[in-house]
Amino acid sequence: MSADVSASGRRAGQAAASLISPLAAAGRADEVVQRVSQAIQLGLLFDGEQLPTEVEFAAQLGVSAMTLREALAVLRQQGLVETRRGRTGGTFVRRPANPPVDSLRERLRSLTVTALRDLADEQFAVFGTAAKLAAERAPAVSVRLLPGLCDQLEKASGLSARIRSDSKFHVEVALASQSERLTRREVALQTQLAELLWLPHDPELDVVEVASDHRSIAHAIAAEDGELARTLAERHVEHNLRRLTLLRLAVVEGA
Amino acid sequence: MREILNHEREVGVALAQVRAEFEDVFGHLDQVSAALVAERASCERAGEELTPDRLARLRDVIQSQLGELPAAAGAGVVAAPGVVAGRERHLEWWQRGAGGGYTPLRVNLDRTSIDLYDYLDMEWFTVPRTQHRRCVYGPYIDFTCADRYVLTMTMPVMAGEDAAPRFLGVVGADIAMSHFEPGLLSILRSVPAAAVLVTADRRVIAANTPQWIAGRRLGRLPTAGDGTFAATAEVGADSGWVLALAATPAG
Repeated sequence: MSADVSASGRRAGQAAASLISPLAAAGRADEVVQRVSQAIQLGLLFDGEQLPTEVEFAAQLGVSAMTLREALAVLRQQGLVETRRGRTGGTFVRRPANPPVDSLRERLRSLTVTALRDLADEQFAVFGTAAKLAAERAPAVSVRLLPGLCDQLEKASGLSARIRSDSKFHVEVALASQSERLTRREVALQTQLAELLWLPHDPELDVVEVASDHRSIAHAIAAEDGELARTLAERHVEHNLRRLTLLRLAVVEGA
Repeated sequence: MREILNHEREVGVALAQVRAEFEDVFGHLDQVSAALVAERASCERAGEELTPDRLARLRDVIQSQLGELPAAAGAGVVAAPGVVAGRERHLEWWQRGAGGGYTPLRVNLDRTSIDLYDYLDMEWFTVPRTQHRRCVYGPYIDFTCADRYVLTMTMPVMAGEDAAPRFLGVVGADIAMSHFEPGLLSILRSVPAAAVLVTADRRVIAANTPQWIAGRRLGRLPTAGDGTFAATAEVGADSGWVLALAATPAG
Protein backbone atom coordinates (compact mmCIF):
# COMPACT_ATOMS: atom_id res chain seq x y z
CA MET A 1 0.00 0.00 0.00
CA SER A 2 2.62 2.47 1.06
CA ALA A 3 4.82 1.42 -1.89
CA ASP A 4 1.93 2.11 -4.26
CA VAL A 5 1.41 5.56 -2.88
CA SER A 6 5.06 6.52 -3.13
CA ALA A 7 5.32 5.05 -6.62
CA SER A 8 2.32 6.98 -7.91
CA GLY A 9 3.55 9.98 -5.97
CA ARG A 10 6.87 9.83 -7.76
CA ARG A 11 5.17 9.46 -11.13
CA ALA A 12 3.00 12.45 -10.39
CA GLY A 13 6.02 14.40 -9.26
CA GLN A 14 7.92 13.62 -12.41
CA ALA A 15 5.00 14.57 -14.60
CA ALA A 16 4.57 17.86 -12.77
CA ALA A 17 8.26 18.72 -13.02
CA SER A 18 8.27 18.10 -16.78
CA LEU A 19 5.59 20.80 -17.18
CA ILE A 20 8.08 23.43 -16.07
CA SER A 21 9.35 24.67 -19.41
CA PRO A 22 13.07 24.79 -20.03
CA LEU A 23 14.64 28.24 -20.22
CA ALA A 24 15.57 29.40 -23.68
CA ALA A 25 19.32 28.94 -24.07
CA ALA A 26 19.91 32.27 -25.79
CA GLY A 27 17.62 34.05 -23.29
CA ARG A 28 17.78 37.81 -23.56
CA ALA A 29 19.03 37.98 -27.15
CA ASP A 30 16.14 35.78 -28.28
CA GLU A 31 13.75 38.06 -26.48
CA VAL A 32 15.18 41.10 -28.27
CA VAL A 33 14.88 39.32 -31.64
CA GLN A 34 11.26 38.49 -30.88
CA ARG A 35 10.43 42.02 -29.71
CA VAL A 36 12.01 43.67 -32.72
CA SER A 37 10.43 41.31 -35.25
CA GLN A 38 7.06 41.84 -33.56
CA ALA A 39 7.53 45.60 -33.75
CA ILE A 40 8.32 45.31 -37.46
CA GLN A 41 5.33 43.05 -38.07
CA LEU A 42 3.08 45.47 -36.19
CA GLY A 43 4.40 48.42 -38.15
CA LEU A 44 5.80 50.10 -35.04
CA LEU A 45 9.17 49.98 -36.76
CA PHE A 46 8.78 50.83 -40.39
CA ASP A 47 10.60 49.97 -43.57
CA GLY A 48 13.77 52.01 -43.94
CA GLU A 49 13.67 53.34 -40.38
CA GLN A 50 17.05 53.76 -38.79
CA LEU A 51 17.39 52.02 -35.45
CA PRO A 52 18.97 53.98 -32.59
CA THR A 53 22.73 53.57 -32.12
CA GLU A 54 23.75 50.35 -30.41
CA VAL A 55 24.46 52.14 -27.14
CA GLU A 56 21.11 53.97 -27.18
CA PHE A 57 19.13 50.93 -28.30
CA ALA A 58 20.71 48.64 -25.72
CA ALA A 59 19.90 51.20 -22.99
CA GLN A 60 16.34 51.53 -24.25
CA LEU A 61 15.79 47.77 -24.17
CA GLY A 62 17.67 47.35 -20.90
CA VAL A 63 20.14 44.79 -22.26
CA SER A 64 23.92 44.74 -22.59
CA ALA A 65 25.58 45.91 -25.81
CA MET A 66 26.74 42.36 -26.40
CA THR A 67 23.23 40.93 -26.13
CA LEU A 68 22.00 43.56 -28.57
CA ARG A 69 24.77 42.79 -31.08
CA GLU A 70 23.90 39.10 -30.83
CA ALA A 71 20.22 39.89 -31.51
CA LEU A 72 21.03 42.22 -34.42
CA ALA A 73 23.13 39.46 -36.02
CA VAL A 74 20.10 37.14 -35.97
CA LEU A 75 17.80 39.85 -37.32
CA ARG A 76 20.31 40.57 -40.11
CA GLN A 77 20.32 36.89 -40.99
CA GLN A 78 16.51 36.90 -41.12
CA GLY A 79 16.67 39.87 -43.48
CA LEU A 80 14.72 42.11 -41.09
CA VAL A 81 17.47 44.67 -40.65
CA GLU A 82 20.49 45.67 -42.65
CA THR A 83 23.62 47.45 -41.56
CA ARG A 84 25.26 50.00 -43.83
CA ARG A 85 28.72 51.39 -43.27
CA GLY A 86 30.01 54.89 -43.84
CA ARG A 87 28.89 58.41 -43.08
CA THR A 88 25.19 57.66 -43.65
CA GLY A 89 25.63 54.24 -42.08
CA GLY A 90 23.70 52.56 -39.32
CA THR A 91 21.23 49.74 -38.87
CA PHE A 92 17.99 50.02 -40.81
CA VAL A 93 14.69 48.16 -40.70
CA ARG A 94 13.75 46.19 -43.79
CA ARG A 95 10.21 45.18 -44.40
CA PRO A 96 9.98 44.10 -47.99
CA ALA A 97 6.84 45.24 -49.87
CA ASN A 98 6.19 41.60 -50.54
CA PRO A 99 6.91 39.04 -47.87
CA PRO A 100 9.39 36.31 -48.83
CA VAL A 101 6.87 33.69 -49.93
CA ASP A 102 9.48 30.95 -50.35
CA SER A 103 10.85 31.22 -46.84
CA LEU A 104 7.30 31.44 -45.45
CA ARG A 105 6.46 28.19 -47.24
CA GLU A 106 9.59 26.73 -45.71
CA ARG A 107 8.43 27.86 -42.26
CA LEU A 108 5.03 26.32 -42.83
CA ARG A 109 6.63 23.07 -43.97
CA SER A 110 8.64 22.93 -40.73
CA LEU A 111 5.44 23.03 -38.66
CA THR A 112 3.36 19.92 -38.13
CA VAL A 113 -0.40 20.06 -38.59
CA THR A 114 -0.65 19.40 -34.87
CA ALA A 115 1.62 22.37 -34.11
CA LEU A 116 -0.63 24.57 -36.27
CA ARG A 117 -3.67 23.28 -34.42
CA ASP A 118 -1.96 24.05 -31.12
CA LEU A 119 -1.24 27.62 -32.24
CA ALA A 120 -4.88 27.92 -33.27
CA ASP A 121 -5.92 26.52 -29.88
CA GLU A 122 -4.03 29.33 -28.21
CA GLN A 123 -5.58 31.87 -30.53
CA PHE A 124 -9.01 30.36 -29.88
CA ALA A 125 -8.53 31.13 -26.19
CA VAL A 126 -6.85 34.49 -26.63
CA PHE A 127 -8.86 36.02 -29.47
CA GLY A 128 -12.16 34.54 -28.29
CA THR A 129 -11.70 35.99 -24.83
CA ALA A 130 -10.36 39.28 -26.16
CA ALA A 131 -13.47 39.68 -28.35
CA LYS A 132 -15.77 38.94 -25.41
CA LEU A 133 -13.97 41.38 -23.12
CA ALA A 134 -13.82 43.99 -25.88
CA ALA A 135 -17.62 43.82 -26.15
CA GLU A 136 -17.84 44.41 -22.42
CA ARG A 137 -15.13 47.05 -22.10
CA ALA A 138 -14.18 48.66 -25.41
CA PRO A 139 -13.70 52.40 -25.16
CA ALA A 140 -15.82 54.40 -27.59
CA VAL A 141 -12.80 55.12 -29.78
CA SER A 142 -12.06 51.42 -30.41
CA VAL A 143 -15.67 50.81 -31.34
CA ARG A 144 -15.36 53.58 -33.93
CA LEU A 145 -11.99 52.34 -35.19
CA LEU A 146 -12.79 48.67 -35.82
CA PRO A 147 -15.14 49.04 -38.83
CA GLY A 148 -12.50 51.19 -40.55
CA LEU A 149 -9.96 48.41 -40.13
CA CYS A 150 -12.40 45.98 -41.78
CA ASP A 151 -12.72 48.34 -44.76
CA GLN A 152 -8.96 48.72 -44.86
CA LEU A 153 -8.54 44.96 -45.14
CA GLU A 154 -11.17 44.66 -47.85
CA LYS A 155 -9.44 47.34 -49.91
CA ALA A 156 -5.89 46.15 -49.20
CA SER A 157 -4.18 45.06 -52.38
CA GLY A 158 -1.07 43.00 -52.22
CA LEU A 159 0.05 40.43 -49.74
CA SER A 160 1.88 42.75 -47.39
CA ALA A 161 -1.03 45.18 -46.98
CA ARG A 162 -3.45 42.31 -46.34
CA ILE A 163 -1.25 40.75 -43.71
CA ARG A 164 -0.86 44.11 -41.97
CA SER A 165 -4.57 44.97 -42.07
CA ASP A 166 -5.54 41.51 -40.85
CA SER A 167 -3.07 41.72 -37.93
CA LYS A 168 -4.13 45.24 -37.08
CA PHE A 169 -7.74 44.18 -36.64
CA HIS A 170 -6.83 41.32 -34.32
CA VAL A 171 -4.51 43.49 -32.26
CA GLU A 172 -7.09 46.29 -32.06
CA VAL A 173 -9.68 43.86 -30.66
CA ALA A 174 -7.11 42.74 -28.08
CA LEU A 175 -6.33 46.36 -27.22
CA ALA A 176 -10.05 47.04 -26.80
CA SER A 177 -10.20 44.23 -24.22
CA GLN A 178 -8.03 46.46 -21.98
CA SER A 179 -5.85 43.48 -21.15
CA GLU A 180 -2.11 43.98 -21.60
CA ARG A 181 -1.44 40.28 -21.28
CA LEU A 182 -4.00 39.20 -23.86
CA THR A 183 -2.67 41.89 -26.19
CA ARG A 184 0.87 40.59 -25.85
CA ARG A 185 -0.30 37.07 -26.62
CA GLU A 186 -2.34 38.21 -29.61
CA VAL A 187 0.61 40.17 -30.98
CA ALA A 188 2.86 37.12 -30.62
CA LEU A 189 0.26 34.95 -32.35
CA GLN A 190 -0.12 37.43 -35.19
CA THR A 191 3.64 37.38 -35.73
CA GLN A 192 3.52 33.63 -36.08
CA LEU A 193 0.28 33.16 -38.00
CA ALA A 194 -0.71 36.17 -40.10
CA GLU A 195 1.95 35.83 -42.79
CA LEU A 196 1.34 32.10 -43.18
CA LEU A 197 -2.41 32.55 -43.45
CA TRP A 198 -2.13 34.79 -46.52
CA LEU A 199 0.31 32.58 -48.42
CA PRO A 200 -0.86 32.46 -52.03
CA HIS A 201 -2.57 29.22 -52.96
CA ASP A 202 -5.40 28.36 -55.30
CA PRO A 203 -8.20 29.02 -54.38
CA GLU A 204 -6.99 32.31 -52.87
CA LEU A 205 -8.10 33.25 -49.38
CA ASP A 206 -11.20 35.38 -50.01
CA VAL A 207 -10.36 38.81 -48.61
CA VAL A 208 -14.03 39.86 -48.76
CA GLU A 209 -15.01 36.86 -46.67
CA VAL A 210 -12.31 37.50 -44.06
CA ALA A 211 -13.31 41.18 -43.90
CA SER A 212 -16.93 40.12 -43.45
CA ASP A 213 -15.92 37.82 -40.54
CA HIS A 214 -14.12 40.79 -39.02
CA ARG A 215 -17.09 43.06 -39.59
CA SER A 216 -19.49 40.75 -37.77
CA ILE A 217 -17.09 40.61 -34.80
CA ALA A 218 -16.85 44.42 -34.85
CA HIS A 219 -20.67 44.65 -34.87
CA ALA A 220 -21.01 42.33 -31.88
CA ILE A 221 -18.41 44.42 -30.00
CA ALA A 222 -20.28 47.62 -30.86
CA ALA A 223 -23.55 46.00 -29.75
CA GLU A 224 -21.84 45.15 -26.43
CA ASP A 225 -22.79 41.50 -26.97
CA GLY A 226 -19.89 39.60 -25.38
CA GLU A 227 -21.12 36.07 -25.97
CA LEU A 228 -21.83 36.71 -29.64
CA ALA A 229 -18.44 38.39 -30.09
CA ARG A 230 -16.72 35.38 -28.54
CA THR A 231 -18.64 32.88 -30.67
CA LEU A 232 -17.89 34.78 -33.88
CA ALA A 233 -14.21 35.21 -32.96
CA GLU A 234 -13.88 31.51 -32.19
CA ARG A 235 -15.52 30.63 -35.49
CA HIS A 236 -13.09 32.96 -37.27
CA VAL A 237 -10.11 31.21 -35.65
CA GLU A 238 -11.61 27.89 -36.74
CA HIS A 239 -11.84 29.15 -40.37
CA ASN A 240 -8.23 30.27 -40.20
CA LEU A 241 -7.09 26.91 -38.86
CA ARG A 242 -8.79 25.16 -41.79
CA ARG A 243 -7.02 27.47 -44.21
CA LEU A 244 -3.65 26.95 -42.53
CA THR A 245 -4.10 23.19 -42.54
CA LEU A 246 -5.03 23.28 -46.21
CA LEU A 247 -1.90 25.32 -46.95
CA ARG A 248 0.25 23.00 -44.87
CA LEU A 249 -1.01 19.94 -46.75
CA ALA A 250 -0.52 21.68 -50.09
CA VAL A 251 3.05 22.67 -49.21
CA VAL A 252 3.95 19.05 -48.54
CA GLU A 253 2.33 17.90 -51.77
CA GLY A 254 4.21 20.55 -53.67
CA ALA A 255 7.53 19.36 -52.25
CA MET B 1 -28.31 63.38 9.36
CA ARG B 2 -24.82 63.99 10.67
CA GLU B 3 -23.62 61.04 8.58
CA ILE B 4 -24.83 62.58 5.34
CA LEU B 5 -23.16 65.89 6.14
CA ASN B 6 -19.90 64.10 6.86
CA HIS B 7 -20.34 62.29 3.60
CA GLU B 8 -20.57 65.49 1.68
CA ARG B 9 -17.46 66.88 3.21
CA GLU B 10 -15.45 63.71 2.55
CA VAL B 11 -16.70 63.44 -1.02
CA GLY B 12 -15.70 67.04 -1.56
CA VAL B 13 -12.22 66.29 -0.23
CA ALA B 14 -11.88 63.21 -2.44
CA LEU B 15 -12.99 65.14 -5.53
CA ALA B 16 -10.49 67.89 -4.80
CA GLN B 17 -7.71 65.34 -4.33
CA VAL B 18 -8.40 63.56 -7.63
CA ARG B 19 -8.57 66.94 -9.36
CA ALA B 20 -5.23 67.86 -7.77
CA GLU B 21 -3.63 64.73 -9.25
CA PHE B 22 -4.62 65.97 -12.71
CA GLU B 23 -3.68 69.57 -12.06
CA ASP B 24 -0.23 68.46 -10.94
CA VAL B 25 0.39 66.85 -14.35
CA PHE B 26 -1.16 69.78 -16.23
CA GLY B 27 0.99 72.17 -14.21
CA HIS B 28 4.12 70.46 -15.52
CA LEU B 29 2.72 70.51 -19.06
CA ASP B 30 2.24 74.29 -18.69
CA GLN B 31 6.01 74.60 -18.46
CA VAL B 32 6.49 72.77 -21.75
CA SER B 33 3.74 74.85 -23.34
CA ALA B 34 5.38 78.10 -22.23
CA ALA B 35 8.72 76.92 -23.61
CA LEU B 36 7.12 76.14 -26.99
CA VAL B 37 5.43 79.53 -27.18
CA ALA B 38 8.72 81.24 -26.27
CA GLU B 39 10.73 79.26 -28.82
CA ARG B 40 8.29 80.11 -31.58
CA ALA B 41 8.20 83.78 -30.60
CA SER B 42 11.99 83.94 -30.69
CA CYS B 43 11.95 82.40 -34.18
CA GLU B 44 9.39 84.97 -35.30
CA ARG B 45 11.38 87.89 -33.91
CA ALA B 46 14.42 86.65 -35.83
CA GLY B 47 12.29 86.21 -38.96
CA GLU B 48 13.06 82.50 -38.98
CA GLU B 49 10.92 79.42 -39.26
CA LEU B 50 10.33 77.01 -36.39
CA THR B 51 12.48 74.14 -37.61
CA PRO B 52 12.67 70.62 -36.14
CA ASP B 53 16.08 71.63 -34.75
CA ARG B 54 14.65 74.65 -32.94
CA LEU B 55 11.82 72.54 -31.53
CA ALA B 56 14.42 70.02 -30.34
CA ARG B 57 15.66 72.72 -27.95
CA LEU B 58 12.64 71.86 -25.78
CA ARG B 59 14.31 68.60 -24.90
CA ASP B 60 15.67 69.85 -21.59
CA VAL B 61 12.40 71.28 -20.34
CA ILE B 62 10.53 68.11 -21.38
CA GLN B 63 13.03 65.86 -19.66
CA SER B 64 13.02 67.91 -16.49
CA GLN B 65 9.21 67.63 -16.31
CA LEU B 66 9.55 63.86 -16.77
CA GLY B 67 12.05 63.91 -13.93
CA GLU B 68 9.46 65.54 -11.69
CA LEU B 69 6.59 63.30 -12.80
CA PRO B 70 7.50 59.72 -11.89
CA ALA B 71 4.10 58.52 -13.20
CA ALA B 72 4.81 59.85 -16.69
CA ALA B 73 6.06 57.25 -19.17
CA GLY B 74 6.63 59.95 -21.77
CA ALA B 75 5.93 63.59 -22.54
CA GLY B 76 6.42 66.16 -25.24
CA VAL B 77 5.03 68.31 -28.00
CA VAL B 78 2.86 67.18 -30.90
CA ALA B 79 2.72 69.86 -33.58
CA ALA B 80 -0.23 71.00 -35.64
CA PRO B 81 0.21 70.82 -39.45
CA GLY B 82 2.36 73.60 -40.87
CA VAL B 83 3.71 74.76 -37.52
CA VAL B 84 7.09 73.08 -37.92
CA ALA B 85 8.81 74.09 -41.14
CA GLY B 86 8.48 71.48 -43.86
CA ARG B 87 6.63 68.97 -41.70
CA GLU B 88 2.95 68.16 -41.94
CA ARG B 89 3.27 66.04 -38.83
CA HIS B 90 6.02 66.37 -36.29
CA LEU B 91 6.63 65.55 -32.67
CA GLU B 92 9.23 66.16 -30.03
CA TRP B 93 8.40 63.45 -27.52
CA TRP B 94 10.60 61.80 -24.93
CA GLN B 95 10.08 58.52 -23.15
CA ARG B 96 11.56 57.14 -20.00
CA GLY B 97 14.07 54.46 -21.05
CA ALA B 98 14.63 51.13 -19.34
CA GLY B 99 18.06 52.24 -18.13
CA GLY B 100 16.86 55.40 -16.35
CA GLY B 101 17.59 57.82 -19.20
CA TYR B 102 15.26 59.23 -21.83
CA THR B 103 14.81 58.14 -25.43
CA PRO B 104 13.08 60.01 -28.24
CA LEU B 105 9.83 58.48 -29.44
CA ARG B 106 9.96 57.34 -33.06
CA VAL B 107 6.70 56.83 -34.89
CA ASN B 108 5.82 56.44 -38.53
CA LEU B 109 4.81 59.87 -39.85
CA ASP B 110 4.96 58.88 -43.51
CA ARG B 111 1.48 59.76 -44.78
CA THR B 112 1.66 57.21 -47.60
CA SER B 113 2.26 54.31 -45.22
CA ILE B 114 -0.47 51.96 -44.03
CA ASP B 115 1.20 52.25 -40.62
CA LEU B 116 1.03 56.04 -40.49
CA TYR B 117 0.74 57.18 -36.89
CA ASP B 118 -2.00 59.64 -37.70
CA TYR B 119 -2.37 61.68 -34.58
CA LEU B 120 -4.41 64.32 -36.42
CA ASP B 121 -7.39 61.96 -35.95
CA MET B 122 -6.68 60.98 -32.39
CA GLU B 123 -8.97 62.28 -29.69
CA TRP B 124 -6.16 63.57 -27.46
CA PHE B 125 -5.20 65.81 -30.38
CA THR B 126 -8.61 66.68 -31.87
CA VAL B 127 -10.23 67.66 -28.55
CA PRO B 128 -7.63 70.34 -27.69
CA ARG B 129 -7.62 71.50 -31.33
CA THR B 130 -11.35 71.85 -31.86
CA GLN B 131 -12.59 72.58 -28.34
CA HIS B 132 -9.57 74.55 -27.11
CA ARG B 133 -9.56 72.65 -23.86
CA ARG B 134 -7.47 70.06 -22.10
CA CYS B 135 -8.08 66.36 -22.62
CA VAL B 136 -7.73 63.27 -20.45
CA TYR B 137 -7.79 60.32 -22.79
CA GLY B 138 -7.96 56.67 -21.74
CA PRO B 139 -6.88 54.66 -19.95
CA TYR B 140 -5.84 52.46 -22.83
CA ILE B 141 -3.07 50.05 -23.75
CA ASP B 142 -0.59 52.13 -25.68
CA PHE B 143 1.18 49.66 -27.87
CA THR B 144 2.45 52.28 -30.28
CA CYS B 145 4.38 54.28 -27.78
CA ALA B 146 4.60 53.33 -24.19
CA ASP B 147 3.64 49.66 -24.38
CA ARG B 148 1.57 49.88 -21.23
CA TYR B 149 -1.74 50.95 -19.73
CA VAL B 150 -1.77 54.73 -19.77
CA LEU B 151 -3.79 57.91 -19.64
CA THR B 152 -2.77 60.46 -22.23
CA MET B 153 -3.22 63.99 -20.91
CA THR B 154 -2.93 66.84 -23.36
CA MET B 155 -3.51 70.58 -23.52
CA PRO B 156 -3.70 72.97 -26.47
CA VAL B 157 -0.87 75.41 -27.09
CA MET B 158 -2.07 78.72 -28.52
CA ALA B 159 0.17 81.50 -29.82
CA GLY B 160 -0.66 85.20 -30.10
CA GLU B 161 -2.63 87.45 -27.81
CA ASP B 162 -4.97 88.71 -30.54
CA ALA B 163 -8.55 87.72 -31.20
CA ALA B 164 -7.56 84.72 -33.31
CA PRO B 165 -4.67 82.96 -31.59
CA ARG B 166 -3.01 80.23 -33.61
CA PHE B 167 -3.18 76.59 -32.52
CA LEU B 168 0.42 75.33 -32.45
CA GLY B 169 -0.35 71.79 -31.36
CA VAL B 170 -0.58 70.03 -28.05
CA VAL B 171 1.75 69.32 -25.18
CA GLY B 172 1.05 66.09 -23.39
CA ALA B 173 2.14 63.26 -21.17
CA ASP B 174 1.43 59.54 -20.99
CA ILE B 175 0.63 58.71 -17.39
CA ALA B 176 1.17 55.06 -16.46
CA MET B 177 -1.85 53.69 -14.60
CA SER B 178 0.52 51.49 -12.61
CA HIS B 179 1.75 54.73 -10.99
CA PHE B 180 -1.51 56.65 -11.04
CA GLU B 181 -3.87 54.02 -9.65
CA PRO B 182 -2.40 53.70 -6.13
CA GLY B 183 -2.98 57.42 -5.51
CA LEU B 184 -6.58 57.18 -6.70
CA LEU B 185 -7.19 54.13 -4.52
CA SER B 186 -5.93 55.81 -1.40
CA ILE B 187 -8.19 58.79 -2.13
CA LEU B 188 -11.19 56.48 -2.65
CA ARG B 189 -10.45 54.60 0.55
CA SER B 190 -11.12 57.76 2.53
CA VAL B 191 -14.67 57.87 1.15
CA PRO B 192 -17.00 56.27 3.72
CA ALA B 193 -19.26 54.62 1.12
CA ALA B 194 -18.75 52.24 -1.79
CA ALA B 195 -17.27 54.58 -4.38
CA VAL B 196 -16.26 54.27 -8.01
CA LEU B 197 -14.49 56.55 -10.49
CA VAL B 198 -15.92 56.26 -14.00
CA THR B 199 -14.87 57.80 -17.33
CA ALA B 200 -17.30 59.65 -19.58
CA ASP B 201 -17.64 56.46 -21.63
CA ARG B 202 -18.77 54.52 -18.54
CA ARG B 203 -15.51 52.69 -17.91
CA VAL B 204 -14.44 51.96 -14.35
CA ILE B 205 -11.10 53.55 -13.43
CA ALA B 206 -10.93 52.53 -9.79
CA ALA B 207 -13.21 51.60 -6.93
CA ASN B 208 -12.87 51.06 -3.19
CA THR B 209 -14.80 47.79 -3.42
CA PRO B 210 -14.59 44.66 -5.62
CA GLN B 211 -18.17 45.38 -6.63
CA TRP B 212 -16.73 47.28 -9.62
CA ILE B 213 -13.72 45.94 -11.49
CA ALA B 214 -11.30 48.36 -13.15
CA GLY B 215 -11.58 48.38 -16.94
CA ARG B 216 -15.17 47.15 -17.07
CA ARG B 217 -17.91 49.26 -18.50
CA LEU B 218 -21.01 50.05 -16.50
CA GLY B 219 -24.39 49.45 -18.11
CA ARG B 220 -25.11 53.18 -17.91
CA LEU B 221 -23.54 56.32 -16.54
CA PRO B 222 -24.16 56.58 -12.79
CA THR B 223 -26.85 59.05 -11.76
CA ALA B 224 -27.96 59.82 -8.25
CA GLY B 225 -31.03 57.81 -7.29
CA ASP B 226 -30.76 55.33 -10.18
CA GLY B 227 -31.13 52.43 -7.78
CA THR B 228 -27.40 51.73 -7.46
CA PHE B 229 -25.95 55.15 -6.68
CA ALA B 230 -26.91 57.63 -4.01
CA ALA B 231 -24.73 60.48 -5.20
CA THR B 232 -22.57 61.43 -8.16
CA ALA B 233 -20.21 64.32 -8.78
CA GLU B 234 -18.01 65.40 -11.66
CA VAL B 235 -14.28 65.37 -11.02
CA GLY B 236 -13.55 68.25 -13.38
CA ALA B 237 -10.09 69.19 -14.68
CA ASP B 238 -11.40 68.38 -18.19
CA SER B 239 -11.31 64.68 -17.28
CA GLY B 240 -14.98 63.89 -17.85
CA TRP B 241 -14.64 61.52 -14.91
CA VAL B 242 -17.46 60.99 -12.45
CA LEU B 243 -17.19 59.94 -8.82
CA ALA B 244 -20.19 57.86 -7.85
CA LEU B 245 -21.21 56.68 -4.39
CA ALA B 246 -23.39 53.69 -3.74
CA ALA B 247 -26.11 53.78 -1.13
CA THR B 248 -24.33 50.88 0.58
CA PRO B 249 -21.07 51.19 2.56
CA ALA B 250 -17.76 50.01 1.06
CA GLY B 251 -17.51 46.22 1.26
